[in-house]
Amino acid sequence: MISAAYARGAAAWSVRALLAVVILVSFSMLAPRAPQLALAFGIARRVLSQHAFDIGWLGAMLEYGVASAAGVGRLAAFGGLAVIATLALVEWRARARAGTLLALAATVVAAFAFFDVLRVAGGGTSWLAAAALLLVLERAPGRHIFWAVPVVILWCNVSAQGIVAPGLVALVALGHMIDEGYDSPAVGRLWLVAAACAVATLFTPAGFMYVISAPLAARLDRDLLRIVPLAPDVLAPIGYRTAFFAIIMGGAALGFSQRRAVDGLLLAAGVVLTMIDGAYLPLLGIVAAPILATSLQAVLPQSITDWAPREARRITAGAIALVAAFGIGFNLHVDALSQRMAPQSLIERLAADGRPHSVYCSFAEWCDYAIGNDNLRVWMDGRVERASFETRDMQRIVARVEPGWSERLRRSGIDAIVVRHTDALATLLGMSRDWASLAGDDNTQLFVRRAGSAR
Amino acid sequence: MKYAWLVIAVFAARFLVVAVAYPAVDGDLAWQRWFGAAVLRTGSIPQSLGPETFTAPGAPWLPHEWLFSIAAALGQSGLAWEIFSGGVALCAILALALAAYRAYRRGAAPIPIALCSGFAGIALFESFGVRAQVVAWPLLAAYLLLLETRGRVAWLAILIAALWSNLHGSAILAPAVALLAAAGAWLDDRSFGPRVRQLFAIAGGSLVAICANPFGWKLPAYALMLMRSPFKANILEWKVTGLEDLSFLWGAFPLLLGGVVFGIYRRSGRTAIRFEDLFVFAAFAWLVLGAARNIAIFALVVLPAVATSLTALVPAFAAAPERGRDWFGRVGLPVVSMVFALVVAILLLRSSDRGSDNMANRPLAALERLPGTHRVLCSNFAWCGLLVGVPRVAVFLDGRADPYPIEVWNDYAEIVRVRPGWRAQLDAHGVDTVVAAHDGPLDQALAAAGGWRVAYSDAAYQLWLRNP
Repeated sequence: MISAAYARGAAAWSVRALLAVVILVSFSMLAPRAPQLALAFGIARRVLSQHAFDIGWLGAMLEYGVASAAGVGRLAAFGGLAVIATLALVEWRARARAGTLLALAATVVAAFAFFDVLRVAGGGTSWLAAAALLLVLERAPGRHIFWAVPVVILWCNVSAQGIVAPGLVALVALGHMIDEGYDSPAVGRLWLVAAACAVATLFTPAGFMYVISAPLAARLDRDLLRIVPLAPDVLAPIGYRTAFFAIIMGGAALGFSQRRAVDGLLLAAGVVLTMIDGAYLPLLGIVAAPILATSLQAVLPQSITDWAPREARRITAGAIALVAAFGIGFNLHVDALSQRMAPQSLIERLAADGRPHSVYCSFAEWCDYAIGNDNLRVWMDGRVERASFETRDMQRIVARVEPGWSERLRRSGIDAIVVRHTDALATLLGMSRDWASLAGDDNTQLFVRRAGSAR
Repeated sequence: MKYAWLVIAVFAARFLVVAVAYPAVDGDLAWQRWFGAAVLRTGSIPQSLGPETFTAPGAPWLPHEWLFSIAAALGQSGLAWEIFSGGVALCAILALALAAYRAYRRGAAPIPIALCSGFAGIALFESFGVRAQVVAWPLLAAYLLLLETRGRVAWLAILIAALWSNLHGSAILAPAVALLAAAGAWLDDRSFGPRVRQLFAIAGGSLVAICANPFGWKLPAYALMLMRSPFKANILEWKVTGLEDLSFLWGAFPLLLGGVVFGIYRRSGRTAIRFEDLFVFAAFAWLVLGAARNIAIFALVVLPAVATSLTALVPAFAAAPERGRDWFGRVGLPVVSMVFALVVAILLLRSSDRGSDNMANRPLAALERLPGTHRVLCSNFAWCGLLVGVPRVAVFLDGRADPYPIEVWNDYAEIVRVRPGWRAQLDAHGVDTVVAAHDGPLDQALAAAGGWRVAYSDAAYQLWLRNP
């Protein structure tokens, strides 16, 4: 005779294992977004050869190390492993609040927020640090909460997105202050941790420059919207339509913050960050899953939360169905998620002629392929934090063929342009006597300035 | 409600001044006047495009804004314009007031109602104009109010739906909302009681009622078709909503965030999910995240629920002010509000924007003075709405938008976005006149292409004519 406890454990581990396998298999089928990979490898090579540490150097080194050891093809699987580890931490937080069953269900919902994680900068490792930080803040007893500080240091070295860490800790402190009052010893300690985490952001090779540059690198400046895609429906279309909507409906139905202010503040931060930049959708999943589980526990009958056999079977079956939906959805969208359309070959062709070139890419991140080529100088690449306001301004003016674009190109000495062939810029370059089309593929075209034209 | 009235007064000043004093900010009004005049003249409603377009004459058209168009034709100028445009502004004000009243009926406290009314008012900003959908706003608010009432008066919702279907195609929302509310109420009550039965009956009645217009069942069919139509990708209003939409950022988004963080139902202790509210919230959240066009209606729908939740969350909002300290509420706030309203009205009336020409009126007037016939393309299709019905002029595409076949839209996008086949499409359609934004992509392309000459030019626009 199987005991009830054994049956519960078996059901929980079945769902966990299934979710892990589905994520691993799904991510293994993906080709990581190529320009992002080029950027990471470029940063890693600069660390190794020039000892120059760009923002996100540790994350780049990790990717470079995995690619060197196991091959580029394994990188997506590595991303999948990072997502599994992140979700394990999320479930750990949720389990302490609402028990195994609801924690698992909420974690499966959170998994949908990671659907598009390889499409966007940051990859999986950044969110592992975020999940670890929230786990420490929520579960670490007494002074152990100061473990948040090394986690923040790690996060900031892995990714520019670490810049949001002190803000998250401050929101947790503020939430506890509202919930427990000013005089709670835990609140004082949390504010101290928040201050320490703010200082911790200085502990990267960039030092104080990290604080200056990371908000831009983490795409938190809405002004960037004019030159790089940030909208959640563009960056994380599948997760936005599933996880984001599920989470906001969960909030509307359950009234998250009416349980704890800290939950409400974190949830609001997650929603705002996701709307600013769709790349933060996984953070919303990490934040919201335990809150969702807690809120569900408050409204569900006791028999369900206590794993009464019949309801538990139903919920387990529902969780398995959700996991299956995740896997099927991933498979249906695997081609779109892989995005193999960036113009790597055009830039490689330009680099191969050995002559020095100044390159402009209408999508800045396409110029990531030029990183590491000594004869190619780019106007702007995916490292938006390195571009001045004037540089970003010209990037927009030329891409949108705003008045003066041609003159700006001439003044800046650009002699090669990579552009999508359906853009107005491509047509106008094609009509210009100063530019000649050198090569093209299905989506993009490479123009070079004609010899003798005015620079 | 007391503070909400003051907030609404400030928005009322803004809406009234914008509607009455800025007559030329919407290109749709021009073709609607032309269409309304045609209906009044002939006594029938045209249901296909005519020779005013050269790309799709004879294409079937369902002019669902026919009643609004007649009102627009009657209110063209002078006092009639002030009555008509002022009436449209009053619709927006009424919608806001009805939404605030719904919050009041649910027991929301004055401050949360005023706060949420402020956000909702901001959410109306970008969509507001002398436009048919604005007239639909109070109908939506009234419909929801009636759904929440009990007794016979709720049946009036069916009449609202019938009226709505003669003013705007968004009337399709009426039976859908009633159905969602009915399903939610059924789940909430866990029994098929009298109110649930009434809501289902209203949903069914509304479905029939939205066919009570000159187009019959074709109106809901058209509205459903529109939801999936690919031409929306070419219209800014249909773009996916983001924080770059200021009405969303400062208006609807705080309400959405409030709904998510506070919940949408005032709860006392552990209560079950309130499905009636949740279903309606979910539907409009889906709509607002899907298209910027829906920002205003989302705000009007969720205002009461968020105000009610906020009242429950902050008990101080619900507490009565101490005696003697309410002077600010009684005297100060009305004064502040009236001053604000006055300042808003004066600033708008003195604004330099009043003289600006954002609908290409000047180049289009120059075109009308030119001899001969013209086949015109505007780099913003809404501008060409002003040319609909102008003698000797036919347009490529105009603000009527919906009836144009997708092939026309694709060719239009090819030209105005200066894609590789732009010149071939201009030639294929025999376009001989182009109104383009000065220094915009199409303007630059025409200048570089040769074979075109400038007939009119100012800082904002250029009028191009094909060389003979």
